[in-house]
Amino acid sequence: MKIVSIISVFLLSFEYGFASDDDYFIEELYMNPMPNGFVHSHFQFSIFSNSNLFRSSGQHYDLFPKAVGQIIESHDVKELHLSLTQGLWRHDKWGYPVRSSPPGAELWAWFNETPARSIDESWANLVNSLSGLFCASLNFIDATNTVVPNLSFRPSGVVRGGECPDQDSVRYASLPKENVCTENLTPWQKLLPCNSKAGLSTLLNAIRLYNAHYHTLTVDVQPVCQSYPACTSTVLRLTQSISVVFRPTLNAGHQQWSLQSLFDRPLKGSCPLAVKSYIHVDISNESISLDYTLNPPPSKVTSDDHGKVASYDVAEMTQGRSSLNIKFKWTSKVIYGKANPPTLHAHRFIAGYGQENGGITCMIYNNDISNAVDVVYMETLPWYVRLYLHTMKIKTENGTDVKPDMLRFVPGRDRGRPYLLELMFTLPPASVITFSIQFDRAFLKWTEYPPDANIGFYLGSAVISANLPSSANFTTARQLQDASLPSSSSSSPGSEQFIRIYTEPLLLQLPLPDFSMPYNVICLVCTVFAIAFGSIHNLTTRRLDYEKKKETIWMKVKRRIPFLGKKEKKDSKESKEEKKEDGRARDASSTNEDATGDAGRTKEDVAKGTKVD
Amino acid sequence: MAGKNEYSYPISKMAAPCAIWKRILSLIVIVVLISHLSLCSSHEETAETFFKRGHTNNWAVLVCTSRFWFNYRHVANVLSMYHSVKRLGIPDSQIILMLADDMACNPRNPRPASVFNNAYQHINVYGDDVEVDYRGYEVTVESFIRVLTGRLPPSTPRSKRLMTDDRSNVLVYMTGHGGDGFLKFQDSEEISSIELADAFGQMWQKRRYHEVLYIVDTCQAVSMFQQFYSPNILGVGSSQVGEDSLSHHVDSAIGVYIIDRYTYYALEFLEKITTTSQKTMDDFFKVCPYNQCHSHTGYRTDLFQRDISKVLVTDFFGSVRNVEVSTSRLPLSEVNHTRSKVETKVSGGTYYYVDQFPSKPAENSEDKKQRVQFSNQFIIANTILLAIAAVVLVSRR
Repeated sequence: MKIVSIISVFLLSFEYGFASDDDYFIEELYMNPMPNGFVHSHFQFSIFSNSNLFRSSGQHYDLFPKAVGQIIESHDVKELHLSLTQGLWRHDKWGYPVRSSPPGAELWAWFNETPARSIDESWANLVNSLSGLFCASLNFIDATNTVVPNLSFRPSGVVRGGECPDQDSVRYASLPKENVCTENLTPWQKLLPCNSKAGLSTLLNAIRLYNAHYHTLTVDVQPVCQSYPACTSTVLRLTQSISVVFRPTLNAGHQQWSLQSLFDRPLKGSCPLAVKSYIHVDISNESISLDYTLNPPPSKVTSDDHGKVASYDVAEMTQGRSSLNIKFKWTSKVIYGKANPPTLHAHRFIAGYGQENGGITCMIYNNDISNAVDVVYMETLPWYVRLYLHTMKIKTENGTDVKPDMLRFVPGRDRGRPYLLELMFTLPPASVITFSIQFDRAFLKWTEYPPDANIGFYLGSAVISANLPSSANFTTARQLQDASLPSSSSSSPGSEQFIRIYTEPLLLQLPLPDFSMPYNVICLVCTVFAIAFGSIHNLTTRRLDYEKKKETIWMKVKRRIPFLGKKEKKDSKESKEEKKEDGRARDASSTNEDATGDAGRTKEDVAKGTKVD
Repeated sequence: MAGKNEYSYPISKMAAPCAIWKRILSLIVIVVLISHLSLCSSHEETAETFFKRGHTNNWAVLVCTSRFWFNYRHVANVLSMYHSVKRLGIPDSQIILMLADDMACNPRNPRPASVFNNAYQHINVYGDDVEVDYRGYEVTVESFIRVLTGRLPPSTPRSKRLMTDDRSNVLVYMTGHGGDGFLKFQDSEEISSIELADAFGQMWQKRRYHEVLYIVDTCQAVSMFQQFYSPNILGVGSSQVGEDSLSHHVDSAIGVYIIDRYTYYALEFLEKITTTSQKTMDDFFKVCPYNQCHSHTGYRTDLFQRDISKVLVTDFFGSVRNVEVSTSRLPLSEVNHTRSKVETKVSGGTYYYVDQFPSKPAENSEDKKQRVQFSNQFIIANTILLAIAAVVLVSRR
């Protein structure tokens, strides 16, 4: 349909571009002013490299950045998709983004099979290289948060005919806590052919970009068809995009924005290395009540079933002027009414209370009145969220169960592997499906907590993939060079549009130990325990008893061998003892001696008694 | 003493017949010395210039060890040093910047993507061109020591490695919360001064530095470098043992203290330094006296071989490269722009785009069996258990 015509127009124009074997670069900016006051700006920089980087080494890098090329070659990467996002895309207010991404960092890649390295090894090396290139902590991606999805992340680039992509060659991981700042933008900009010196990338002002409601930085590398539809050779495409959603302030109830007011930088010209440099402004929302003015007038206006777009050729428009400043103004005052939600959106949250167990519930809305939508729902949870598959329930509003068409569950292993749940089910028209599952919270070892453990632990977004019917009422930037567009036109032209939406990430509180002064606490408690308990136990349970003194061999010997007086005394003592036993009386002196002797003996006995006790 | 007696014996023996030879030898030595002295003045200059520039490259390791919004000033400290060091010429590829928390894009920052170190001048030390190598949870004692000693896993990227050699001057700047003999990392672990001294000892043994300037801006800072034993290290601390380092001022718009006193005055000094400046480390050590810092700064030069009054500040903070200007022309050959034809022909076949949405499985309820797979160990263990149980039962009969 119209989409095919638009694509064919663009692709035909590129038959000429493909004549030479050189790399070429396209920069585009897509702006969508929404009637509810938000302005979505999407910068897309695409570099197409004709050289076959998969096999050869020692390539001459022209416009394609060497840093990315070397990473792809050395880690046998077929496709790479990285996004760093701050903020959540509000589907119900803003529609669908051009390139969807979850909050935090997300990385997924398809690898080529090589005998030299296993895919896990390549993944680990890739993750480290990317963390160094983009100054992000991607090196925290390891086996405990990597999954191998089967249904959700299929190759978005071309695949050799006759080959089925091996499902084990894909890896997906997300870090929901990763933040994006200028330190990620700096190396990203250095990959562009014109850096930040010329062209649309001069508008990328960090202070304005990071003060927005939503911003994302993405890098996609994939092989695409060189000539369409006879796809006999491939071109490697690097797409770098930045998506920002601003909300410009109102000026006496009216809203207006211009490139200067949004980005605080003038656009002086296009990048000289770019084949095409365009700014597209989406004016599909024009109606009698929503009238606007666009200044300066656009180079051309294209309209089709799905929308109307005003395009500016930056190179042309900046030839005579010092800078190009596109000003847009709504003539009527902004009325914040209820926004029309799109066909498919979702809302996910944690259910339950306490620190022992809980649940995750996701509500998926299908606002299409006539069509049912097939949906793949993918959930990745870390190992300390122990899911119970038997508690999974998928219910409609009436309470009827929905049986999933496909179910794949990879249970997690403590400190080894996360939980992966992939489902495919159908959403009836105009319905809300509630998916819920229960889990147990694990108690981590005390060294496994992050330094700011009281914030909690982030659980990554769930991924919902769907094929939306073409009659679905939504607009998206179809004018941009989107690699996935030819795929829909190859199967059944213009019938369905594939989208991927991400839900909210969740913040989970795990049971925490008391981190304050563990050493002191242990010492104090142990000391108190030892002194108090030990003493009390001894006092209460010790019994003092007399014990007969056993005759040792030495005493026997002393008794028998006749020596001096001591001996006699001892003999007398012994005899006295014997006499005592017989019950006879004594003299006073001898009794004294007896007394001391007895006292000495009793002391010894007592001492012995205590020793025994 | 006994040794001396032993050695004096053979000399006295030789004295009698070799007296003449001794005299001739001494004469020759005197002549040589006199000639050397006359040449000394001209050689001295060349010798001095030779020893002045013992290093050929400069590196910097800038570490902020504190987390949380109220430690904004530590991040501002490190970023200010980063700003100065970059301005004076050290490239990003030779700076390892470690920030334990993100202040610029922190949700509590009223000025996103900027970090200020001065409430009045409003210089954004975060800037447009910043590359943070270790951030967030990556800043740990282990990673810091691994960076210094070079014992990193093989997959570590170049930007995270300290690839110094024996002709590198390294500036190490650490800031955060510290105590007597330790420095706190991220509120959860500490690095002790002995560990740090051993790390530098390892660096020396591996010849990973030519000279090191170690600056520490924490409470009781001097205790951090008191245990150092490796040569060629200069240490500067912002406070003595038993003293606290204090912060400078609050920015009421941001709501927290934004810079520490020692770093504030050190920056004032560094802002006046240019790449050709002749200021010496002696001047740098005089920065921030007690009336400004409210703490006594301390420094350590006993391990350092050169005289600090002759060591330039740019030896550590700048990356001064010797440039040889030549007026002669160099002939350049024509560059061949045609790329070598690499094998781009794929052996036949076409390419296609895969369906992004998986196809539904065929509606075959009979085939829907739940395939449960038992692991091999489970099967083996079970068979052994059943065998034992069977044997026991049979034997009991």
